[in-house]
Formats: sequence, structure tokens, C-alpha cells
Amino acid sequence: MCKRPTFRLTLLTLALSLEGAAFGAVLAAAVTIARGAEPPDGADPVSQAERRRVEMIQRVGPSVVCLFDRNQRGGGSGVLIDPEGYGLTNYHVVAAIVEAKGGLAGLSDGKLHDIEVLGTDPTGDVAMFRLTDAGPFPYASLGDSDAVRLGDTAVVMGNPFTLSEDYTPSVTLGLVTGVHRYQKGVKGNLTYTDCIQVDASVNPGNSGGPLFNAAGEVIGITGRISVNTRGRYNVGLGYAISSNQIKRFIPAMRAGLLARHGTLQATVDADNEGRIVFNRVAADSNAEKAGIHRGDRLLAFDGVPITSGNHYASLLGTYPADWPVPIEIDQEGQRRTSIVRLDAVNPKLKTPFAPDRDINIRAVERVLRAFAKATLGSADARRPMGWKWTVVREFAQGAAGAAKASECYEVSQTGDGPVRMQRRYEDGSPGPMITYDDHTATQRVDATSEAFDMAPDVGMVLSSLYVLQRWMLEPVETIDLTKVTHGGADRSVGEGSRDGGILNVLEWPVGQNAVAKFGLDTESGRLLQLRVRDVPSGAEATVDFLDYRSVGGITWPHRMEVRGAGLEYRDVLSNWELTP
Amino acid sequence: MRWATIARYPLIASLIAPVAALGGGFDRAIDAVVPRVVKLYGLSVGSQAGYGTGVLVSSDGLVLTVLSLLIDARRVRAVTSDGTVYEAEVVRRDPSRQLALLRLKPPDHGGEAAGSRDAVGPFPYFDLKCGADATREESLRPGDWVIAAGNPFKVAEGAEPVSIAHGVFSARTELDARRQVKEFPYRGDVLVIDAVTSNPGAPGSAVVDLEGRFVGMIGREVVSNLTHTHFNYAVPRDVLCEFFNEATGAMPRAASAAIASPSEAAVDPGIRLTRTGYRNIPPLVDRVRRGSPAELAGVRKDDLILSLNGKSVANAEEYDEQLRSIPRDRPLDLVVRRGRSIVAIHIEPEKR
Repeated sequence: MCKRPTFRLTLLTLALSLEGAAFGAVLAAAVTIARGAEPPDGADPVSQAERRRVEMIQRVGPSVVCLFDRNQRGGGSGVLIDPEGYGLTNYHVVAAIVEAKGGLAGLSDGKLHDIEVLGTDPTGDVAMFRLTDAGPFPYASLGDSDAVRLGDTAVVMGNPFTLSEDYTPSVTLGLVTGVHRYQKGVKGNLTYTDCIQVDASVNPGNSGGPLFNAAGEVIGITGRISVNTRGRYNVGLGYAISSNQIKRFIPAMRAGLLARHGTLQATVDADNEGRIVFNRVAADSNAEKAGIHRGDRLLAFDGVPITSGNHYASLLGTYPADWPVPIEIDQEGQRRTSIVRLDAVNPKLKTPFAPDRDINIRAVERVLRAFAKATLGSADARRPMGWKWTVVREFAQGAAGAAKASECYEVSQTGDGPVRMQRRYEDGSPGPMITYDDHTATQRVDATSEAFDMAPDVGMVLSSLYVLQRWMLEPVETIDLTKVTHGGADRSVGEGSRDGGILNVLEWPVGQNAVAKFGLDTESGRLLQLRVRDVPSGAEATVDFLDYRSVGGITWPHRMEVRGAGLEYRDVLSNWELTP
Repeated sequence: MRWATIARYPLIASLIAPVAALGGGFDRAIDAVVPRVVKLYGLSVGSQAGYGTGVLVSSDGLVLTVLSLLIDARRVRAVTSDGTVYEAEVVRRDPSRQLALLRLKPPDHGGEAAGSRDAVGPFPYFDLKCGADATREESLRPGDWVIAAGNPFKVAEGAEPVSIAHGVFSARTELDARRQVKEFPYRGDVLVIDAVTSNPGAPGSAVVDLEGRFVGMIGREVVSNLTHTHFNYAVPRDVLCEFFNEATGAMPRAASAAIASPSEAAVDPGIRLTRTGYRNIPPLVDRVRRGSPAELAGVRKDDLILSLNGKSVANAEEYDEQLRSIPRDRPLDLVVRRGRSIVAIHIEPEKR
């Protein structure tokens, strides 16, 4: 994995070289000819394809911004990814130009806007910023970088050599000339893993700008080139951080956090027969706790068959810390798959950008609005006052405490009151009841007829459900957001899918010592996962929310699967009743 | 402005052709070329990269590459596109064209039986089409797309596909790099390409057209002494063929030539020059074969050759190259410096 060094592209001191000038001239000529060469009928495939490309560049070009520090010295590039003015760039761009957490972005309409740096990902060389003025702004969508193939069209836009006086981006065209590349970083940071290589010209100043596919989707952020002894400019090898990697870190960056990459704390090597074998598994790592030993064969990482040590390192670098990843191993002839939550790379990593509570709360609010919209259809829909459901709890075969196959409960809540969970026997007579009151953080078991054998996690799950109901029942404006923290990203593995969607994590303290982490889908806004952890005991329960259906205008999961802390059961919800 | 006029001409070609390629027009070329190049690793000296690229030109593992220090390593490793590691042994060097031919061998694991050790392949390869009727590749016209595939900056490792670059074939021209650039002995035809291909590790890359047909190989780095610009070019297929034929004895006339001896068609006055390295060695006579035409004409050890048949000879490569173009039945006129005097020597050809 020893590579010739590559260099970052921030242009701190503008040295406008002859190459740069000629380069701009070529671009100018390119645009002129592209328009002029179009025949009047435009019917031939070449003209059509050319027109499509020109249209694409005109359409997405305004999403590309020129970034400067406050003195407008030097600079890099960036791309806006939503109409509110959130944008992506390189970490080395904001680190260099935005010491005071502020800077300027020039848009192609010629206007300069103040920017605020949100979260950063120094390990992956990505940072997120926001235009502080009110939108809407032009933006580009993120594409699927896993679909990128060698030879695909690559369109790079940005502000090389800070040529642009009016903030319109320069455009360079080329091919994808390598996929799944690994470019080593500096002390673990600024590493380009599983990145995209292009032969479109990438030069100093292009840093942080987008790499587009032929459809105009952002498939990467360009930030590195290979350089020769000649100097620090394009020699035909540029590298872009892939969009699918960036997507996994966007929740944390949008929330103003320092995004951390994951590691297995285990290394692999190829043996004499070319098999990939773990040669080191760190003590106390999550991999070791999951039963992975030195000498085990690594078959697949997150469903991808691993072909080399390089391949493994490259793939691993695209995952955030604490993400669950299925690892398939062959242990003394036995194949098995463990889901391992990744440890953090470089845990002492610091950033000059201190986590900002205001940025975080803004991200929380955004997630809750998406949740309300997903649940109620729109953020302003009328909310119910209370709710009630029947829960049939089915115990997994052989699970601890599973004397019976199933139990039935009625769970209800009205307004701001406590959550009640009432046991019903098969003949309909009431059994014991658990009540949880979040205001006092107390949990009461009202066992009238028999001892109620309650597992420690039941309370945590209940109290979390309480929080969930509040989020559904109350308008976002009335929720006390100060109790909620955006905790970055997680991923849903509930349905056993390879990449079950990227989740925004909202954290809420439950009771005295527990923390509930709600995982809400970044795309649909739905709640897909809940992890509750009792800090002193370390007991943890995970709830997957499945089978979404719409009842009474409210879209809600009809199955919950609870795992952890000695209990394995599945809650099937039925008989929805909502109090208007 | 003047640059605008200059910039337009290459762009007309490059703007029309890429749109044809937007719908995946490079796929065929890429699919053809990527498995037919190997990554080479060898000796690294100073700023010379210890890695490079080679082109498979036979199913049993003959690999064309450029002459460089990396192939002087005790062990040269070649990695094929499936990630298999081979050892590469140098079959033939050509200082005048700056080319080398390697042969892949199984990696030396130590304990293997000697009998099966040399059998490797079959490999995917480019057929150089070097038969007796081999002519210049006329199918490539200026303005056509070309794809180069190799391992610049050794970005790819193991089974990872090598890097590609796309560009436009600009012209076929003669490279006379003597006057303005770093000393470079090759003076034959080159294919000029507008993609940046002059990078560490890139020499030896295969160049193909849009159909995936092999048209040339990226040559050694050529840098202008005046502007420090790099020249992006490929050695054409037919020039590679000349070397390949000499090296393998495939041409009818050279059918019996031993692999490491000079071509029999050329004149051989019996002079051996001092060999100390590759670049810019003065054409100093090291030894004169006993009874050879040169000895009979009075050539001595330590004579410095200044000119041959009226053409100045700057270094040993030029001497070799000029000799090659002289039929063996022709006399040679040498001018040499001997001590402080200049001596003219007429060498009569060897009688048969």
C-alpha cells in the first residue's frame, strides 16, 4: 500500500501559471465550439449527445460554488446539495481558508454569500458548509458511485487556479480511468479510500468541487491528484471521494459533528494460496468480542467478497465508526457471519471546528420534521391526542424467559400522560400493568395477581416509546429540542439487507442512566431502529420497526422486533386506535 | 488572441469524438486493453521509478516494455491483470529504440520441480501482426481516439485494473530529440497523443484505438531541456515489430539469428565500445576484434569515434543505430580522436 505521494489541491497563494492560462483558454474555446458546431437540425446522434451534455452542464453548473476565505485569498470549490444551501467540499479546503468558521462562497450568478462550516470529516477529507443567506439555492443531487464503471464520462467542475472572476465554474471532461482506488493519507487523515480516478483535468483550486456523471449527478468530490516532479498540476490522474462514502457521513456533518471513520482493529493478509486471513485482531476490539480470531479467513465484508488486503483496507475506510457491518468468516471450516459494530479510527482525532449546539439542534429539527411528514403525511397534519394498540408479543423459540409462545398486551397513552402497558390473558381478563411516566422518570409495576417477571430492558424500551409518541403527537415547535441530540449516522440492518439505508440518529436520555438512540431513515424519514443502552449495566436492547402501514392517516410500523438483554421477542401491533 | 487559433484545431476533433463515446464508446477498447498489460516492479534508482508497465505480446508470456533501469533488478516482478505475480527475465534489450523484451516465468517459490517451471500462460495478448507483409498501421488517422492503459504512479496494485487515459492521436512524426531535449537516442517515428501519458510508471503502457486494436506503446519519458515540457507519444506498432522480429527471429532474413546477437544484415567492422550504462556514453572503442576489418584498417582501443560515413556520432547508441542501417557490403569511413590528433580511417568490408 505504499504509494507515491499525491498532493492536496488547495490554492493558498495563487500562482497563475502559463499552463493555467492556456487551460482556461482551451475551456473558453471548448464552450464556443460546442455551441457553434451544432447543426441546425441537430438530429444526428453526435449532435444530440453533445447537446445533452451542454444542457447538463448548464443545468448543474450553478450548484458549483467557489470558496474563499474572508480576505478572498486563495480558495477551493464546493457543491450545493440541497435548496437550503447545504454544500460539500474538502476538509483541507475549509481547514485552510476558514479558520474563523467563516468564509465566502461565490455562486455562478456572481453573488457572494457568507458560509458557515458545519461538521467535518478530516479522515475522509470532506466537510459540510451552509450558505447563511436564505434560499432557495441551485443544487445538485448525489448519485450512486457504486454504479460508476471504468470508461464512464467524467465531468469535473470547480475553480482551478482561481481563474473565475465571476464565480462561474470551469468545466473539464474526461473518463473514469480507475475505480475502487486507494490513496494513502497523512497520519490516517485525508485518506482516499475506494475513490474514483479520472483523467479529466483536476488542478489546484478544484479541491472540494464535484465530479459529475453523464446524468449530472454528483458521484464524487475531487480533492487530490498525482503529481510529477514537474509541479503541482494535472498530469492526467485526479481522484474523487466517492458519493456513497460521503452519504454515510453527511448526517454527522450536517449536525456539526466531527465525523469518525470506523475500523475493525484487525488486519488481514493473503496467505500462500491467496486466501485472505486475519493476521492480527486487537484485544478488546469489537471484532474480538464478536469472536473473530487470528487465522480466521475473511470471506466477505458487508457482502463484498474480499480479494486482497488492499481491497479490504479500501472498503473499510468508507464506513463510519459504530456502524454495524456483517463480516463473513471461515473459522476452522465453519462459515458464519457476525455483525460487528466498527471501532473508531484515530479516536483522539481533534478538529478546529468545535461541535456547535445550534447547528446540532437545527439538524434535530430537520429530522423531526421529516419524521412528522413521514408519519402524518405532512408536517402540518392534525395530530391525534392519544393512541392505543394491541400488542401480541411472540417469543423466539428457546429464548430466555420464553416459557410461553406469546403474550398479549394493550399499550396506550393519552396526551402527555404516562404510557401504560396492560397484560391481557387469553380469556380477556387483565393481568399486571407497567406504567412509565417520563416526567418523573419512574416506572411502576402494578402486579395484582402474579409476580411480574420483567426484564430490565422492557422499561427502557417503554420509555423510548413514550418519547416516540411525543414526537408524533406534538408539533415540532413544542418539543423541547434541548433534550435531543443529533448523534450522527447509523445504518439499518433490520431486514438483513446489505445496506439497509442510512439513518439519522437522535439521542434522548431515558430515565436516570439510559440513552435511547432513534434511527430515522435519511430518505423516507421513518423510524427504523431504536437502540437503548443502560449505561451503568451496559444492558442494551435493539428494536427494529418493520411493516409500515397507514392506519387512520398515520403511517406506523406494525411489527417491532426486540433483541438484546436476554430477551428475544417480536411485537406484532394490531387494533390501532387513535384518539382525535 | 493567438492561443485561440492554436487551441481550436485539436479541439474540433476532440469535441466531436467524445460525444460518440458518451454512450460507452470506450468500453470495447478498455475491455481489450486492460487484461493485456502487466504491472512491472524492479530496480529503483534515484528519481527513476522502480515500477512500470509492459504489454503482453504472446500467449506464452512475452512482454514488451521500454528500456529502463527497473529491468536491471536482480528480480523483476510482473503482475498480470488477475493479480498473479510472475518473474520476468530480460530476453533482449534494444538501446537504439529504447525497448526491451521480457519473458514471464513462474514465481520462484524455491521448492518446485525444475521441469515444469517455465510453462506459463496462456495469457491474453496483443498480436503485433509482424509477419513479412507487416506494414504501417494505416487505420489510425489524426483525430482518432486512442486509449492508453498502464500503471502511472503505481496507482493499481495486485488484481486492480490499471489506469487508463484517453486522448486524440494527433500525428505520426519523426522524433528527432537530439537538439533540444534531454539526450534520447530513439529517432524513429512516433505517434503524438494529446493525453498526458508521460508520467512515472507509464512508459510501456499499451495504446489502442476505439476498436481495441493495438497501435503502439508509450515510450520513455522525453523532456525538453528548454521548456521542461514532457512529450506525450507512443512508439508505433510497426517499430515495435522491427524490434520484436529481431528479438524473436520471426523475420525470414533473420530466421536463424541468435536472440542476443546483432542483426546479421548489418555491417560489423568488429569494434566493441565501452559499455557502462545506458545514457550518453561516449563512443569509445573498448576492444577491436582480432582479424576484423576494423583491426586491418587500424582502429585501436581508446579511439573516440567522432563520425561515421560523414554523420556525427554523439554516443554509443547512435553508433549502434547508424551501423544498423548500413548494409554489410559497404565500406565505412570513420573519423576518430586518438590522443590529441584526429584520424580518418577507411574500413573495407569483410570479403565473403
